[in-house]
Amino acid sequence: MAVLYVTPRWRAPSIVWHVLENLALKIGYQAALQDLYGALENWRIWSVFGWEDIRQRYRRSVLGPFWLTISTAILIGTIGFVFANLFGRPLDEFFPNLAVGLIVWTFIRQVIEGASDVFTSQERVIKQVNLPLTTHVLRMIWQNLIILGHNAVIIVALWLWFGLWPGMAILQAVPGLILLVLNGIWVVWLVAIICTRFRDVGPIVTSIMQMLFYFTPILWLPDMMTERGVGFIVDYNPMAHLLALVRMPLLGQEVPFASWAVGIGLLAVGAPLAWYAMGRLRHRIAFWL
Amino acid sequence: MTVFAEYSPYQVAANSAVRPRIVMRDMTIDYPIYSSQGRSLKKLVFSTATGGQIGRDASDRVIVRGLDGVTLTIEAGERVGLIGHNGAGKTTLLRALCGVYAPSRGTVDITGRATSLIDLSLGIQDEATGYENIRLRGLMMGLTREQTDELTPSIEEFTELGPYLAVPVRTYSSGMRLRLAFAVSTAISPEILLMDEWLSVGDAAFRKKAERRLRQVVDNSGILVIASHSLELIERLCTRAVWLDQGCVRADGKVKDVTEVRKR
Repeated sequence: MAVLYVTPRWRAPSIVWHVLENLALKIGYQAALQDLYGALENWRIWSVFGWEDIRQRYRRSVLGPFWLTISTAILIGTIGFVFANLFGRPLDEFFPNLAVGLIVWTFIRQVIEGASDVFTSQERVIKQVNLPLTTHVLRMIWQNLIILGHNAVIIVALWLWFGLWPGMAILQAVPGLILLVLNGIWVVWLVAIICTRFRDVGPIVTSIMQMLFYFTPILWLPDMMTERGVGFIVDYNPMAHLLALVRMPLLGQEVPFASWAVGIGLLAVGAPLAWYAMGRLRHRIAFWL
Repeated sequence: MTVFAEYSPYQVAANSAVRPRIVMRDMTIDYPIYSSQGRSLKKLVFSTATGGQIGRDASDRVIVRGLDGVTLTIEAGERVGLIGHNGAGKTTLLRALCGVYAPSRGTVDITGRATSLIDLSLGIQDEATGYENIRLRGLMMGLTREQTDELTPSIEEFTELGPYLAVPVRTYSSGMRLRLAFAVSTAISPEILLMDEWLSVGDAAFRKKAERRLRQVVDNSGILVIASHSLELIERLCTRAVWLDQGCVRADGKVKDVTEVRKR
């Protein structure tokens, strides 16, 4: 901690610089691969600690994680009652849509918002053990998948209550959820890198998610917007498509081709981007904490 | 009769692996320092918008050179003590040795698995009991559940915490936490053990026991690197001392020689 100096303000672009950059890309590719592979190999760490995070929170409570289920159920019940009456929609049409939508949305929102402190909250571990950084990402996603699992009890209760069994369409929810999680990994990587470096991005992410919540058909039904000629906020909303991947099968509906295309398209565009960022910046993250 | 006899199967496993070795060549570590200002996106956005005056502020990052051209080779069986005053780069060196900090210049090659005891609270969950924490910390160190379960009786014995192990860790004193963390981390003889000074938390009896175990690590042809302000501890424990000053190696050699130079 001695020699203090200041980096030059600007470096002239040159062929050498471009060559170095290409080289960095190659090195980055490997570093990212190692990180991801290492994290998958250490699956025990993130799966156990993901559970532990939840157990920790409810350690001394009797119902434990089912408090999450109860509070979600109360929220859904309240919103469902108010909005179904407000919009004058029959309860058995509005309610399942809202419930499944809100539960899946909670998962999406918590994963993306959780990305902002996925590294900063693990500072002590990152600064002491050379674990693949993806371990922390998977731990957070896994933790939210567990919460999703607890909330799924509500969905089952709804099926029973309204007497709707989705049938074989439910099988589509599995690839849908996998696609959602894969997209989640690259988004978390990118958001986490940016939020660790720039600490004001976290609140921005929260605001954006809040905004997207109202743009996505959760509190309202898609046809309400189409009727008013603003259907584009459903059709061109990537979040609406990602949500549809899991929500529609659970409601016994066929997932439209467009939603699959958007999900796969996002992965095809975002994953290489995150891959590049991860490979190049992975080694800087410990210094940013 | 030593207390550590029951660890033999794992020590054999450690022995059968490659001989640990650390080679640092001209290793330099620079930290960029971000203040709340420097970290903020606003600053970056505004600086690119105005381009001039503020831009210089945002991109003229202040950088601290934590380590400056360190060249050292540590062989199996060495117990190295790092000395130097606060901010001399001791912890930075330990972090580089466990692969957390990547060198900005030069190289560091580490053969063998490094276990670091820089932060005691690693993987410790306050609400979980001592036994649960043994499993969690073991997991964090890359042990399987079966391996940890097998090691639990000997860890139990080493900590001397008895019935307290069944109680949540939040009730522990810092000395008790130290016992737990130390016992788990050194249960399988680590190939490379990196420690920041905190042995002083424990009571005298435990300290003696811990020091004995540290010697054991090295007797199993491992490497110990310990940073400490206590010359007395290093004289007792180490075979070699490295004096770091302002990120550079000022002296390196036998403990007696280095401490003598240091005192002068």
